[in-house]
Parts: sequence; C-alpha cells; structure tokens
Amino acid sequence: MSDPSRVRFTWHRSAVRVLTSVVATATSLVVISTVVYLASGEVSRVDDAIFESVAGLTTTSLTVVDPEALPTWLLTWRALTQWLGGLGGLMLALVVVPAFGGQRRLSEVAEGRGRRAVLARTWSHNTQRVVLTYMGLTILVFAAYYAAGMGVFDAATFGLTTASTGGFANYRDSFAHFDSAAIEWVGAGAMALAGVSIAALVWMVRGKVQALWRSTELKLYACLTIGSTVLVSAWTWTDTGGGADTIRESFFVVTSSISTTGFRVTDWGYWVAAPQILLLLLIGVGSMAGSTGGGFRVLRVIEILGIVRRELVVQLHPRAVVPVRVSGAAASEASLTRVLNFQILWVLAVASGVIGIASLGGDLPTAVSGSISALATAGPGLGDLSGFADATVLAAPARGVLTALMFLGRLSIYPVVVVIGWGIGEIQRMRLRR
Amino acid sequence: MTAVLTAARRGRAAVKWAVSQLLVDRPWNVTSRVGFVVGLGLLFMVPGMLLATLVEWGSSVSDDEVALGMGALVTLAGGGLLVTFTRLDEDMPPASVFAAVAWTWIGLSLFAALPLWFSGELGSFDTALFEAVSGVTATGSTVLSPIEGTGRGVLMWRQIMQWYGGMGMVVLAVTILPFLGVGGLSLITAEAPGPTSDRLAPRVSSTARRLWALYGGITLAIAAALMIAGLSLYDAVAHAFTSAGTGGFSPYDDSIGHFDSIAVEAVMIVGMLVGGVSFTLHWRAAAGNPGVYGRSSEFRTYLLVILAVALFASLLNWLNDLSDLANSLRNGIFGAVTLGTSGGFGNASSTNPGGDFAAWTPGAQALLLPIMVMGGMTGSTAGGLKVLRAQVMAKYMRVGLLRVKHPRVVARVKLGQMAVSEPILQRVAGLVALYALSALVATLVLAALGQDLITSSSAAISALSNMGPALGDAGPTSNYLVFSRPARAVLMSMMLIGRLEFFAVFLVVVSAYERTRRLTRVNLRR
Repeated sequence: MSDPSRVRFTWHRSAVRVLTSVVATATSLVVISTVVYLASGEVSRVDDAIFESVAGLTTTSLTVVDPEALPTWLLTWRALTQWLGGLGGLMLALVVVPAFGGQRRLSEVAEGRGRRAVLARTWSHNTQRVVLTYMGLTILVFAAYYAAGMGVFDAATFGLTTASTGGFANYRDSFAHFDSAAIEWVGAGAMALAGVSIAALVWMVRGKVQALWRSTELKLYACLTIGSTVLVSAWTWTDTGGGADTIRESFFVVTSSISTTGFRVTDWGYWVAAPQILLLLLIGVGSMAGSTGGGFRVLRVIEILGIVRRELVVQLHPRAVVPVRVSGAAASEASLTRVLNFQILWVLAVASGVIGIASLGGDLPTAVSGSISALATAGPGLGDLSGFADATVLAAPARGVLTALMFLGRLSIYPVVVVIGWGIGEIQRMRLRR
Repeated sequence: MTAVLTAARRGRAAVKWAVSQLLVDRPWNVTSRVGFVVGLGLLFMVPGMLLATLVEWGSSVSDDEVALGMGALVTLAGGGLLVTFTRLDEDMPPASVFAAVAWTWIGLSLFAALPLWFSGELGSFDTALFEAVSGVTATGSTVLSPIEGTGRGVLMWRQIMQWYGGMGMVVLAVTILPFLGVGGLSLITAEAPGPTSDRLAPRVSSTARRLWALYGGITLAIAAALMIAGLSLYDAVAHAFTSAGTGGFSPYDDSIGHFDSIAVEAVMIVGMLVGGVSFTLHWRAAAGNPGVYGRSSEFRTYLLVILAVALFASLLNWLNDLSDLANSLRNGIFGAVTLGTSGGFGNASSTNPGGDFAAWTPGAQALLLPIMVMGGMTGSTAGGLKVLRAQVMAKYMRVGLLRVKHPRVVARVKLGQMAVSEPILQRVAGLVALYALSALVATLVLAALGQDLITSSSAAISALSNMGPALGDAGPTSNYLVFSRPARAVLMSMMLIGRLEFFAVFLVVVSAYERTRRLTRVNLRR
C-alpha cells in the first residue's frame, strides 16, 4: 500500500470493514488450521481441532493434544501457527490499528507523542521493520537454544513458539523435559525479550540507550520482572531448596507469565498461594504494547495509574489541569478514554469467562485463573490448570469458553465486539426489510 | 398532656442550650475541623452506648454494665473535650474536608472499640478494633466466636454500631451544624461521594436531619415487621438495626439461620433491599410520590440484577443437586440479596445447609462475585461500587465501541435526560480502577499472609464492598479469625477505604505527601 495518510482517509469511513476483515482473516486461519489437524488424523474431534488451532493462532500455550504423539510435520505446523499468530498480533497492533483509526501509531506507542520519531512513520516501512525485527528475534532465539544444547528441530520449533510468546512445547512437560539449566536460562531470557515491544527491540539493535531509558513502559516492565522474580524466589526459597535453582525457576515462571508465553518448568500448584497469585497478576498485566504478548499491557497499566493519580490530585485542586504522562509526553485524552473503555471490556470479558467456566464444570480457582490466562493468551493457571496440566482437565463446553476468550484476547476485544454488534444490527435490518 | 408537652419543650430547650454552649467559640479554642467533627461524632455515639448499657443491665446473661458504661463515659469525655476546645474555620479546602471525614471514621472506630474491649469479650484491643471497624463501616465481618453466650449489651452495641455506620456519622454530625453552609454538603458527599449529590432540603442540616429521620422510620418499620414475623423485641430491634444499615451483624452464630423461618428471611430480604435503595428516592416516595421508584432506571437495574443472579444461582444449585427447587430458590434469593445489598447475613443452619453460599456450586458462586463488587444504589446504606456507576460504565463502554466503529461520531453518555461530561466519566472510571487496584493489592497481601486465591480475593472484595462474609475459608458459616493479625489489619483498612469510597482515605495520604513535598501548587511532574 502507498502513503498512509491517503489510506487512512478511506479507512476512516469503513472501520467496520477493516475490523470485519481482521476478524475474518483470523477466523479463516483458524479454519485452515482446523482442517490441517483433522486431515492429519491425529485429532479426531472437531472441537479439539478448533481449540488447538485457536490456541495456536492466539499464541496461547493451552493444548488438548499430546505433543509427544504427534508426527514431526504436525509439530512444525503447530509451532508455525503460533509464529503466524504472533506476527498477526503485531501487524494488528502496529500497522492495521494505527493506519485505519489514526489511533495509536507505532511511534506514539513507543515514544510518546511529540518526540522525534526513531521509527519510520510510513505504513509499508513499518510493516517491513516489524516483520524483519520479528524474524531477527526468532533466529536469535533459535541460535541461542541451539547453542544451549537443544537439537535443531527443537531449537527451531521452540524458537518459533518463544518469539511469538506462544508457549507450545514439543513435550508434555514443556521445558522440564530438557532438565538443563542453560536451556532454562536461555528460555527465560528469550521470553523476557519477546515481551518487549518491537520498537524497543529496534532501539536495542541500534543502541539507542536514551530512548530505551526514556520509556516508562520498558522501565516498569523490567521492574515488574525483576521485582516479581525476587518475590517469587523469596516465597518459594524453602520449598524449592533455595540457591541458583530457585532463582532460575522463579525467573523462568515470571518471564513466562508476564510475557504471556506460558512455558512450564515446574508445577507451581504445590507452592504457597502468594507466588501463584502474583504470577496470575503478571499474566493479567501482560507484556509491553507493541510486542507479540497479550494481557492488559504494561502501557495501559501506566495510563490507568496516571488517570487514578490525576483523579486524586484533581479532588484536592479542583481546577488543576493534570496531564497523564507516558514516557515523558502527555497522553491524549482520546487514548485515555480508549484505555478506560478497554478496562471495562476486559473486566467484563473476565467476569463472563469466570461465570461461564464455573457453570460448565470448573471449580472457582480454575475458572478465575483460566479466564484471565486465556484472555491474556498465556495458558497456565491455578487450580486444575496449574503445573503441567493441559486444557483437557476441563470439560468440552468449558473449553469452548476458553476458546472464545483466547480469540477475544488476541484481537484485543474491540474488533470482535464491533463485528458481532454490526452483525446483529444487520440481521435486525434484514428482518425489518422483510 | 400539657404537662408532658411543656416538659418536652423544656427538654428540647435544655438540649439546645447545651449544644450552643458546646459550640460557642471561646478565645482559647484551637482551630481544627477534624477535631470538631470527630468530637461531634463521638457525642452522637454516646446514646447508642448508653442503650447498649441499658440492655446489658436488663439482661441476666452477663454483667458488663460497668464496662459498657465506662466506654460511654470515655467517649462522652473525649467528644465533649474535642467539641469544647476546637472550632471550625470558615473556608473548607477540599483536602481538609476529606481529612475531616477520614479521621472522623478512624477516631470513631477507636472509640467504638472501647466498650468491646472493656467488656473483655473479644480479648485483645486489636480484635475489638477489627470488630468495631467492621461495625461502623457496616461490613459485618466478625471475629467474635462463639457469638452466642456473649453478653447482650456487647451484642447490642455491635448492632448499634452498624446502624450508625449505615447512614454515616458525618451526616449525623452535620445535622446540628446549620452554619456550615456549602462545606457541610461537601462533608456529606466526601463521606459517600456518589456521582450526584442530592439535596433533600435547601439547607444541608435539614437534609441530614431528614435522612436520619427517614432512616429511623425505616428501622422502626423493619423492627415491627420482624416482631410480626415472630421475633422477640430484642431480636427484632437487633436485626432491624443491621438490615436497615445493610450491615450484617447478628447476635447469633447462625445469623438469620438461627430462626430457620421463611417469614423472618422474607422480612430481612425486604429490609436489606430497602436499605440498598437511594434514600433520596425513599424521601420523595414518602413525600407522596411513590412513582419515583419505577421511574428510576438505577432502581430497576438494581432489582433486575439481583433477581437475575438469584434465579440463575438457584437454577445452577438445583441442577447440581445441591437441594430441591424450593430450597434452592429460598437460598438463592436470600444469598443474592444479602450480597447484592452488601448486607452479609447468612441463612445457613443445620436444617438448611444450602444457605452457605461459600458451598454453592462454583457457577453460582461466580455469579455472586459481580454483585458483590456492584453493591447497592448510590445514596443508600449499601457498599460496593454502586449500581449507578456500573450503569454509567456500561454506557461509557457502548459509546467507546461506537467510537471505534465511527471514529468521528459525536456521542455522549446520558443518564436520564442529562448528558454526563467526560471528566465525570473519567472520575467514575478512575474510581473503578482504584477499586480494582485496591482489590488486587489486598488480594496479593492477604495471599502473602497465607490465604488461598478464592479466600483472599473474595475477602478483599468483601471488605472493599463492606459486605461481611466472603467465599472460600471466610464464608458465612466461618469467621474472620481465619485471618492472621496483619491480614486483619489490611482488611480493616480496606473496609474504611471502601466505606468512604476510596477518595477520602487516599487523599489523606496524597495530601500528606504533598505537604511534605511542600507542593502547594500542582506542579507534580511525571
């Protein structure tokens, strides 16, 4: 496509069409993948095939198949769906949404408004950058895994599912299968990197230390990761024997949670409650905006905190004009409104998921953690979903709820809700015409 | 007859004289709004303490008259001293309004704990304080175990605390401050800042007086209905206090389940529902316009949501063979009302075990969580985020979706005929965010202190919404002794934060921070 300013004008008026095409693309990918699973003969039930496809394309680590029983080509396909899903998420957040709504541009997401853009502003250039960086990250992760001692096939598939924050593993016990400290360190580091926004990755490659330092989001992301690692280590110190092993495992589960990847290395269901809940919170917060990860996003958390602070200050000084600053620049009122709306949608989606799963046979901890984890496209949870459990612990109807949540979460809710609303409106109009 | 009237007139004159003597500004008085309002609140608590002392004196279960009387005396002295030696200043900067309200509640909780502490029924001061905070915030989480066997005076004081707390001590204090003017209204709204602050009368003091008269009338009506349903005078009054205030304390271990009577439960359900309705609506209806209920969309939503949850929860419990259909309905409706109005009574008993909502099927429990968060109507005695805010947020979301679809659309959120401005919307959304943040932090801290996910998250929500019992280990048949001492301290602060609807407590912290930073103007950067 050509210049974004011209593209944007026409897209403005057909936002529904863009959103519909987004949802339609996602749906058709799910259909293709479902057909592949069914055709392979390894998955017999249609709903299982749909679940596996959605989990793959939404980069969620929930699975209903036994990966160790799958042929190599299907494992590759499984990993590829996650990689494609991650790419799709990036394109949606960094290219499609900014282009059609004039909403948040990549440069705005990453650097705040009004700063000199480090990233290109044009549409095609952006796409190119995003794809190249993403591919570079994948290759880097592959190389690191290989160097740490994985086989070529494992390194490739794990590379695909790590860079996309997907979390599908070729083994039932995920990373615990390798039983290697080096691989776990590499995996944890790779997940932490995958949760960083593409823009920040570009800065890292180019050595823009100042830009990195200015990013409130990156700083908070790093603080959350390090702080949580310390807390989880402290809480599990005696249970897991202490020492380097505990620190490594804590770091691994923390990065696996906050990047919403969902690789498992240990069964945290046996831990005390506090680290479990902290990990669930991290899954909910999720990764940085403009990364392949999911969740509420660190950027939105910063904006929400800013709004809360502003409300408090305004109560004390009713006439004060207090901007909400992100990375040193004031966020626009429109973007704040969007964040607040997103917050409501998110809470509503989680609440519906909890009620749905709990009514269809999950217990309360499983329902709460499962909804948050699926909406954040992570996978691990508490209760029945903790440890190395896969999604088969839940009954088929409850898995249907998870499928819907994953789909909603990956498309950041809006497109799906708008398209559904538009569909209902169309049906009503058709009835009226009759 | 004339003699009685003359006596009443003389008594009223005497009270007026006493009040004017208390309020007179002496040259040596210290200017302190906080001290003055706290003092007034304390003085208003004294009659309640005396009533509890009388009940104790009349009962033969125990004799803690002296302890309760001592509590009343100390409170009287404290309140009297504060009111005598402080004065209000004229202007009311917002920070000091919030500080006055927040400190009033902290001060009142401390003094309300005194009778409980002196009586020795609750052991150490911190358990007494927890019970007092849970009382004055009309929460209803208890650490008194076993409840039965405790002296009647102490039990009655628990009920009275919740009655006071339901309407709010500051509203009470404002009734006798005719000279406060606009500042008085901001005091009331700071105590329960709803999106709208209605005046029932041109003068703030008459507004406050009318609120309390209405509250008293409703309490009397509930007490009468409970007596008709077969309770003794003591039981009826005790439960009327806590149902009108949507508190949740009961002098029995099994709460309402003690009576195992559908009639009593029905009266309590109506009582809690009435307590959860805006008192502005009640006032207008009492003034001869009962149609206001039907016209209020908040009222319709309030009833509909509770009804829907009650029916669905009953259905789920019935389908999962928890009990037969009739019993499921009975318990479903009671549970939904008691949590939807932030009441927090339980109707479980050995003959009706299905009333324990912490043992319902997971789906039914999951349905309860949203209404625990939502709570009752604005301007009611109920806690939670309030139905109106939920409505505003739902409309805000719809407008947001419309904007995604049509980026240049001009759409506004409307409440009735009135458009809600963006700053107010952001304020409501900010409050929702504050609620969520507080709940998350409290959940994490409670979990760090040793509770599981469901217990800690539901206890945090329950405390913030001034509910009482939670799910998990802190269900209606359990009590809050399952929490450790630091965990109870966290819950106490959550109750106060929730009762004052977040801003007051947080603002005290923020303004203290500002003062230390010497930031008189807003130049907070980053």
